[in-house]
Amino acid sequence: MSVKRVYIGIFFLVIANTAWARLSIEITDGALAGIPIAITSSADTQNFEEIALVVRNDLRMCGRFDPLMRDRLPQHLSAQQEMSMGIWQSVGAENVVLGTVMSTGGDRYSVSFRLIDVYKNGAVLASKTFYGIRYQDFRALAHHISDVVYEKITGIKGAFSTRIAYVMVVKTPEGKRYSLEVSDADGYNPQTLVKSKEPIMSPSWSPNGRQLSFVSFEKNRAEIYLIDVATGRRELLSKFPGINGAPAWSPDGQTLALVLSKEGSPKLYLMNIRSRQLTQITQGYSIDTEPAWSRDGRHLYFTSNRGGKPQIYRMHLVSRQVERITFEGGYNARPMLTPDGRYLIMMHRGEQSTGVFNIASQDLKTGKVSVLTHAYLDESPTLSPNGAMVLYGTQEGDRQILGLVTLDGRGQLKLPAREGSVQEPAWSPFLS
Amino acid sequence: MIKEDNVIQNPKTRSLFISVGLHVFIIGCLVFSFEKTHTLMPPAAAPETKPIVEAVMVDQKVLQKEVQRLANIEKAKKEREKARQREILEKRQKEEALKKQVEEERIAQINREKAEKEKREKQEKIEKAEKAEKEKQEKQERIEKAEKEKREKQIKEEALAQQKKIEAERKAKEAIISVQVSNRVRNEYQSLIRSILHQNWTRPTGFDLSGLYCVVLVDLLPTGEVARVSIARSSGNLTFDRSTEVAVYKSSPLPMPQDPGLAQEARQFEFKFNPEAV
Repeated sequence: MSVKRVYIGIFFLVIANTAWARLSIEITDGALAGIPIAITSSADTQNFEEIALVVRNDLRMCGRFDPLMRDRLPQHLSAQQEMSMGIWQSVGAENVVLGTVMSTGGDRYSVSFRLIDVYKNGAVLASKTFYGIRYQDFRALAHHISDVVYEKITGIKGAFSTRIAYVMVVKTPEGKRYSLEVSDADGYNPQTLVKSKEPIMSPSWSPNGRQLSFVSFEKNRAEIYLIDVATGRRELLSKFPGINGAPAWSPDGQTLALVLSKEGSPKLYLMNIRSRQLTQITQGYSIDTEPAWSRDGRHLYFTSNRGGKPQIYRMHLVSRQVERITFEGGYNARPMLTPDGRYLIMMHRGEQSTGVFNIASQDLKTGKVSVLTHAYLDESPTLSPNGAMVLYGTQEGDRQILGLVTLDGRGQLKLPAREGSVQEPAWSPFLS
Repeated sequence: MIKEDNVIQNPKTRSLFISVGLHVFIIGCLVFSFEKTHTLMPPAAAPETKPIVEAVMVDQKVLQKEVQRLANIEKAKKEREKARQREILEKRQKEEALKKQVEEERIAQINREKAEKEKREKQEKIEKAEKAEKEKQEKQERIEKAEKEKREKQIKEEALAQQKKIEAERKAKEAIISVQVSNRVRNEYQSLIRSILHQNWTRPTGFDLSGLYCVVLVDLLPTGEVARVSIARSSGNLTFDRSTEVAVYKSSPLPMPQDPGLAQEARQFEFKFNPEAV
């Protein structure tokens, strides 16, 4: 009896509440675009434009933002106007960076900026002022401002203040000239560390960002060196007979994984950097090369043809157990792990296409492979330290340049082309 | 002398007759010989001579006869004795047989009684078992019956409740229909809102979107302006969440429906931003 009453009661409650139920709608589509952001000088200054340019470039490069072009931005706004969100909404900006540069005399400036959220009623997400800045540091400061903006909006640490190492190859009448160079992440401010008439290969950053290891054929044989980036001072690390190649630093900076063929076919070795003690970790007749460490230092990924064709394998360093990781495609090489360990970035050739290599990512949990680039010879992928961007080598005409792509396959950019071919990029860790 | 028993039994009387008969027969035989020789009567012999001399010379035959007679009597006596003994033996045998018989009968009787007792007990056991079985069955039947009744009762009650429920639903539906608008009009409005959001949502780029979705709650003023936006379920990606909030703000003010009932509903929205939904 009471049960029936409850039924009736419930139903009348439902009727009564119908007026307060939410209308439920599923949104499945929207234009794919970066976050529209306006970066401009604040009302009371004009000098910020140089910095703004670098920030716009950084944010465009990383694939997540769509910085509004300068000519679309409202000019000559008063201090009051620039805080009226209606104006920014009308130009389509979701965020605004307003910056000021003030000369404090003697080639010193104070620079400040505000990051504003247009749709949260002009809420200020970040506000900073920097004092005693020299003009030559403007670029570096701009990169820092990009980092702050990036981090506030995406929640991810920005990688705009990092550097890249790469090999530059220039053709001269006397033959090719190779140099090992280091530049800002956007390709500016190149600095030459090593010059050689013979090939230089495989640069790799130490975890503290102060050293590089690389392979040099200067002595007409393969040798692995360490070089201090700031001083240029070198030391020889390995010069065994045969191949000495593909050096890779362990995350704790104590060990170098490398490839030696002194026992026969190219095999993986671990070398303690301090003691130079060498341990062979793979055996057999196959070619094992291109070692890459996992973030926790427990696994080593590498390319091997032990299964017939080059595929990527993973070794658990304590147990030395090896398992195959890639199963899609006829050729997978140059493994690189994202910092969160979720994705494997690699050089990949699909089953169908012959001779076409692209950069792909494999979700290590699901095994799903996504092809990120679409030229025909994309190689040498390297990851930014926040795992958000992939830098890789690609062909343009008769030379090689660097390309940039994000993990959703968008934001494909090419770094400023200079003379010569740029190859084998290596992205530095976060630099303090 | 021959002891004559007091008990006259047929066999005894019979043997007596037989012995008498025998005597008679034997004597008869002796008397009447069956020789062929006739004894010629002497022709007139001295007919009656006086028995002059008591012949000392006994007739051999008569002597023999006497002897025989005595012998026969003796024989008969012996035979009677024998017979008697036989009778006694027989009697004893018979008595023993009888005793044995009685004994056997007794034993048989005991056995019979025993058998009967066992049979009875067995029978009782069977009957008891049958009775128990029967009781169990009856109990089971009672239980089943009770359950059946219970089920039937339940079904009846449910049917009744269902009936009442249907009745209540019908009443409620009628009430709802009279208060709310038809589904078609609501669907049209939802499609309109959806397309506005689609135009205003910038799906973020630069990272892997797969599997991400978020749910946003929106409160509107009667004019359609967005009064409040909150994330009910985050996608886990800050950029993604932000893009959905911005989409809602960009869409403000939303068009409000003509129908007052629907306008009341449209004061609160729940948007699920789910790029992977097909």
